[in-house]
Amino acid sequence: VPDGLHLAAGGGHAVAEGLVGLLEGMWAAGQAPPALVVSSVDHSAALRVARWWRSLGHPVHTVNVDSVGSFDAAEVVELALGSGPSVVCVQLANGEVGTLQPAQDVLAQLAGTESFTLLDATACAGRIPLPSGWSALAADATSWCGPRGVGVLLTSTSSPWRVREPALEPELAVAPMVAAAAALEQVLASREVDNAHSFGLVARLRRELPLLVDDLDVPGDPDSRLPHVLTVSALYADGESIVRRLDDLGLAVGSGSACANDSGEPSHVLAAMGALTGGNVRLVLPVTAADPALDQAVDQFLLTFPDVVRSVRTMMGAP
Amino acid sequence: MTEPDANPFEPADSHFASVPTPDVWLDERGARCPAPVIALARAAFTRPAGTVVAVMAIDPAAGTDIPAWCRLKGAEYLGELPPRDGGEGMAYVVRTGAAE
Repeated sequence: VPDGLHLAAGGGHAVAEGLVGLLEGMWAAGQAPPALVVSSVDHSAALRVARWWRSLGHPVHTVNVDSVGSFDAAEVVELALGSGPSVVCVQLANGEVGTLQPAQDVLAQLAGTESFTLLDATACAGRIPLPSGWSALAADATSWCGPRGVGVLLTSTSSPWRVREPALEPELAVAPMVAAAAALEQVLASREVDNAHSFGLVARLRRELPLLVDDLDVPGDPDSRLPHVLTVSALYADGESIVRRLDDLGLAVGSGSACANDSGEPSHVLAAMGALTGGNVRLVLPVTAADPALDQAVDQFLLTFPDVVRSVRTMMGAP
Repeated sequence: MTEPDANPFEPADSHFASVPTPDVWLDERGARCPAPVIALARAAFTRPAGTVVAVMAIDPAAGTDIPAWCRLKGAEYLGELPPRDGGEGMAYVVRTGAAE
């Protein structure tokens, strides 16, 4: 049962505050610092908390993923229970490649144990149903087509989560909160229809793009995935050039390529899966209410992307 | 009780010994992604299958994208070696597959 709602300055902030609040709350209630269990494709904010916890000399376990980016529920549960008191970051779906995780299994098996969970729903809250049984839940308004910079942390009555000092108090204006609430209402109103529609559009892109572009990697689970997320990587092309050319043509996309990121590092998610990180483009389809021209945008992407990749490859001197 | 992770950033020197000696060394340490992968592909396509090619690179994407290239192109990823001259970066070693 959720009994606490805390606002954060974004999904990453909510994830970090959720994990740190659980770790510190459990430590305060027990003798020893709890272990932290994360997966290699977790939100970068979760992995930053893991590095910090490790740097303090506390136990951290990282679960690896398979080639579609999915972790094994049994492995997570075994690691968590074998660690004694622990905090487990449980991703509901991966925001970069769309793969759905066996989160419900993990939550169910850890219920009533010494392991407390943060459900990371930052990629999909609003778009898909949320399982119950978490100690804390992190969400981000962008996942339901709301404004950037609005994160939500829910905590349950049985959760050891506690506000750390200084307390979570981002400077939040009222307008984005109202916009986030309105966007959530709109998404929930037509979720089933939108999801079926988006699932079909992404299925079409997954099927047709490799026929139009040689040497294309399409990572992630083709079936067990979020309806509206697609990522593709083109060999012999750089992500930054592809993103810029698509942007010039009016198509906004993200990228997990090193050259297209401020950090200069390739996507840790793609790297953990063994997927190609270069030439990477990520599409997150909005709901039809947020973009009535969604179908046309997908048509245009299918028409444009092959030419963009060809021209970037020529520029790069691809074989 | 499982052991906590080893530090993933600590180089595991012991596995260098199992990587075969390369036939060809490519120096792509001045290049950014995707140039090291393009250089590897060009080298692979002009040499017989089974050639062991080492690509020396500094770009952080090379460590992921060279194994991914192997998967996409039917080559075998053999592992990493220190650069031949002991300089900066890493050498990623590949056994080429059947010509494309």
